[in-house]
Amino acid sequence: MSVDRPEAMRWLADQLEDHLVVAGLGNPSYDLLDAADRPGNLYLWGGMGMAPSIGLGVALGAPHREVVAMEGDGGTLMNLGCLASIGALAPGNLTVIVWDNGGFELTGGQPTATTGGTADLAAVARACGIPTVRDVDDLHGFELAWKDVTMAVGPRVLVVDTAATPPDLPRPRAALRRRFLRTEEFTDLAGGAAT
Amino acid sequence: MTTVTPPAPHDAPCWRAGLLGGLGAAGVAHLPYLPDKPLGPLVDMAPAHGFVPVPLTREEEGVGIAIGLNLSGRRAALLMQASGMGNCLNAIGSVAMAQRVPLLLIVTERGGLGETVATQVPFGAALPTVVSSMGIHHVSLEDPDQVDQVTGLAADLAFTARQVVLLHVRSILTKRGA
Repeated sequence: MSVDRPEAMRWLADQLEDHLVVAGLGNPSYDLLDAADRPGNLYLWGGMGMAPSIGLGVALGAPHREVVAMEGDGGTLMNLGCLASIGALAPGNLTVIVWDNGGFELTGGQPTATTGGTADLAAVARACGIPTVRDVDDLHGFELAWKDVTMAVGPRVLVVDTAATPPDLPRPRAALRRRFLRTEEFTDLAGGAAT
Repeated sequence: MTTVTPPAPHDAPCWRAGLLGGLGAAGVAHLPYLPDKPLGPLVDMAPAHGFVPVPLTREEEGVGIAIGLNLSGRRAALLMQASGMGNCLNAIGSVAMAQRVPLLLIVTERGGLGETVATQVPFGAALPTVVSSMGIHHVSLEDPDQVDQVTGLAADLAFTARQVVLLHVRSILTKRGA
């Protein structure tokens, strides 16, 4: 069993209220832009692995807002230390979603350390002292887990076992190129006075 | 024959107090850090001056956290030593510079005057050239009398003009009196 990631992203986009969302480069940014562009989305197109760290910074800077950071397994493995920092700093308003497809999919699906379930990112998150961690492998489980974790104490990590991306999935590159530069709108929305 | 009177010993201001003073006046509150010996005492004294130190596992993570804080409308300054810059160059270029997010870096010199550890020389000595080639604004902090002012002006360039700015805290300053 595994989750259809674009379908899960479309469902998730409908659940978002005034959340600030940081999407990592690659599929998280493409999927989020395709599902629902909104001023509270921050899309990365570089800095692999940085989405949870940027989300942590936003969560610390905007403590009254709910923040969601999304990263793939490759990016999360590149920046595993972010889970230790999120556990230690413990912002109650941060949820990290790891879309774990068990490979470097954008480049052809070469294996990562999570391939075959070897490295267990949910177990790492728990071992880092993150109080709310869920590991799901089907869409219904994802929906239940999202509703469940949003009621639970943060920070939260949701590791989602996802299927390979459908081959006909939109890759809105031109839209992303225009959109990812509009970072000041994100700041305005986060409640900070853009200087 | 005239007698030359040596200048009275100049009681230079503490560079750490000057740096924190300049940052505080610029509205910086959060200090993600990975310390070295000169920065350690600065991190220790920061909370008493109203700052929030944020410990890091790696400097690259600190770039992300500082970017997130700055994007939320706060102001952060990332503290690290020169070797740490080598751990975070891509995040600086491909997120902060590419997306025009303000970023203020406080980087203590390694590999220059007074260096005693050979491993610190190759990257530390190349740091100004490396960051110049990326187009990162960098200014040396050398004069204890100007630390406060230069820090404030660097913060203006970073946060108001939305640039990546590196304050290079030179060993001539940190080793003063050592």
